[in-house]
Amino acid sequence: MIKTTRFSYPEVENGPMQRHFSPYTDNGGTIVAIAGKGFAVIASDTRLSSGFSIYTREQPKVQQLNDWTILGCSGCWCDVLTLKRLMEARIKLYRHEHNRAMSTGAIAQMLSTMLYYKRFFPYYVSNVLAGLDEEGNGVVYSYDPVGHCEKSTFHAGGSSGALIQPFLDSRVRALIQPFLDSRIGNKNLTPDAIPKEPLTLDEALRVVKDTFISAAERDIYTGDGVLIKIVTPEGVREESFPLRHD
Amino acid sequence: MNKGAAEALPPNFSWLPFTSCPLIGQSLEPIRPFHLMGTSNFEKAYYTLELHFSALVFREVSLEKLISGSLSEGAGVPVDINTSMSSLLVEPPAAGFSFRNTNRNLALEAHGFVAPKAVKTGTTIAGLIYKDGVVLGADTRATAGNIVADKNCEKIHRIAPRIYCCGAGTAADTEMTTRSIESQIELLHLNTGREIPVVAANRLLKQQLFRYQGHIGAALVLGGVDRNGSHIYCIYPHGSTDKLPFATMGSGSLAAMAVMESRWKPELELDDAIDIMREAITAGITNDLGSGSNVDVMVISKDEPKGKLARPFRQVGIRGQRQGDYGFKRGATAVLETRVVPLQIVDEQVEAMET
Amino acid sequence: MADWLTAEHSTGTSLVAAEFDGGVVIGADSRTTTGAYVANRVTDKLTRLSDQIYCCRSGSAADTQAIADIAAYHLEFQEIETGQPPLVNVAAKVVQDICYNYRDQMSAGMIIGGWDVRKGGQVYAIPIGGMIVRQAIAIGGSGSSYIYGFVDAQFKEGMQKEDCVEFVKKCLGLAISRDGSSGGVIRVVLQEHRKYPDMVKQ
Repeated sequence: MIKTTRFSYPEVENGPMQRHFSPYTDNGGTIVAIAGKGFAVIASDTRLSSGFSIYTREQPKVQQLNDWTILGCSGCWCDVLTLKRLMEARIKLYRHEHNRAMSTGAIAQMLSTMLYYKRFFPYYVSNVLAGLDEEGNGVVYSYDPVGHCEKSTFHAGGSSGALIQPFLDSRVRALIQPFLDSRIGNKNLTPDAIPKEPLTLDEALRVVKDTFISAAERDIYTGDGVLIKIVTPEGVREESFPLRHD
Repeated sequence: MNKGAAEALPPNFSWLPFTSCPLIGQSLEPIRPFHLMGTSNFEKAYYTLELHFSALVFREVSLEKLISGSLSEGAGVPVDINTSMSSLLVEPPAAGFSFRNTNRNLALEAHGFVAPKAVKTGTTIAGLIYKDGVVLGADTRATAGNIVADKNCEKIHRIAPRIYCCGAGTAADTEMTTRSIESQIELLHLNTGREIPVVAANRLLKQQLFRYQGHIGAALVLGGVDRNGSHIYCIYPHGSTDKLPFATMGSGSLAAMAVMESRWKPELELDDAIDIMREAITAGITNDLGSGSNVDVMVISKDEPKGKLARPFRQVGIRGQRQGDYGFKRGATAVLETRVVPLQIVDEQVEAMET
Repeated sequence: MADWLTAEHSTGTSLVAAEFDGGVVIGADSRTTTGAYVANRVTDKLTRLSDQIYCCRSGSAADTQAIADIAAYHLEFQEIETGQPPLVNVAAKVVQDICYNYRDQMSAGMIIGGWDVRKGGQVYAIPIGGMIVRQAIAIGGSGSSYIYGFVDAQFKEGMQKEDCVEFVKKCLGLAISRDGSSGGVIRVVLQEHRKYPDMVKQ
């Protein structure tokens, strides 16, 4: 609206003007990863969006880095692309220099330092790294945008992270670590209600699929489809299924 | 001035039903169950009535006593409001919005308090004219930020039997504005004994919205039929209106307009009109993240006494089938302590009062 | 939500009003924009104030519609009281009063055109701020800046009716072709002296 008084000099009357530089956009997307004995699964939805519009319904946000490590990233997609490009280059350099592929733990550490390198102009990315450790067991690393790294067995990140993580806390932790003392999810459960068997791959897959179905119900930035990468000592395989399109 | 309350309380004074307050908008006070007209001793009679009303609720005073009581007190015996008001009484709210907390809230926000989000219907709504009337359509998603607040909300509001209004924007504003105009149109209808034309609803809506200078965030598509024919109006939050043969609104309006612009033509058959509306709203639902779930369609025909709503007309976003059962088993929560409190059962008989 | 959805509607406009020998011609484009989106491509910006007086609206759609509604109400009331059709200068004054008194809260640029028995065809320009001036030719809206030179060179007072209509159409065509926020169709209202004055819309 044009505001005009008889003698109007808005540039003088309104004081100094401030212009903002905003290099970040949130392109949405959700990552869920669960690790168990002898396997790790990591999945993302395939919707890429901005504001109220969808860029594409077919953009998975999980990327295979080597035979046993998968990276899932969501957030500002241009930062995701840059970060992935630099990581792949560093992984390649490592292989040429040491004549062997990086372990999941080494990649996890490298990602942390790469993120902290940009401490004062961070990558606006929610990272979840999943893979197998040297013993062939599943492991998950989760990050904040400036490089804080946490090793865990399950994590949900991205636009639905806050919706899914409490569910994983209450259900998955009970399945994975029923005998730990510092149980969070099953703190108030009677011993009978705590599962005795460790989490199987099939159960993990079921939980991952169901969390995405539920997240798509309530988060507008999650939908269209899911791509799941399953890492076992035999190799990496994929599964996918559709989500709501609205 | 004391003319006596016979004027203050007309013989057929309206006795509105006590309606529970809906959890929408800012009004937390219940709708007043009585209403007074006239000028003399208005306040005193009002307070008396308010006083007796609380008595009516809590002690079941008869209606007749209630009226005669307020009559006699209004007729001359002054009621000291300060002493006769019990703590149950609240001051009668002034008409219109309350701005009581405006300055407090500004101060809170200045100290970094983040105000709660209003539910928005980032919406796709549309209306079009066909051969025998109008078709209105809406999606059914309501959002609060990036979270879906309601998966199946109603966005087509009734104004009159043959006038309906689709609402986009702040959910509370669209709901309350259309309801208020529905009531004004009904009163106009009762006073004149005529069917109220669509232009009248358009005028009332635009004047209400203009008065509040865009602060009532309601973007509306008004449609209906009357003796002058079929009409669609687009009404924007600042109070400007457009009269159009087809219109779309909300965050999905561009997607819906793409369908409308390519397929609408004059003198459409009903089936084609409904088909265009379904495709227009579906375009909004699939392409706009603020719109989702189902298509609702309303048909208002010049040959029918009432509009017909199909809800849901089409389900676009369909819930996925989950495989697991995540309920907790019976006995999952540890019992820490058990205490039994015996209930006292009292038998009491109540006799009807003479009235 | 995108800014343009909540932004106020404004009629980035091209308006022309011209007096001729025995009446007035007023014209406008038909585009209403919200940011880059054309919210209405068939807008009628030529709004009736009375049978013989019309106004051209530019600025905020909500403000100008409200002003036109209020002015039309005043003039109709006056017509009933006096039994005479309202005068154009009175109509212009009513509009100007509103525009001036609410100049801090509103953004409205109006042109009033009409015919009455006292002064015949008249055009009054009421730009943003609430000033008023009678002109033989008035142009307004964002598109007008492209045609000042054309109007100064080509407009002649006391033209014939048909020439005046053609002139107004030519002006609007030129303005629309250069101004991005004007477009759609050209609407014209012709107001002239007749026994039973009425308007002809093209």
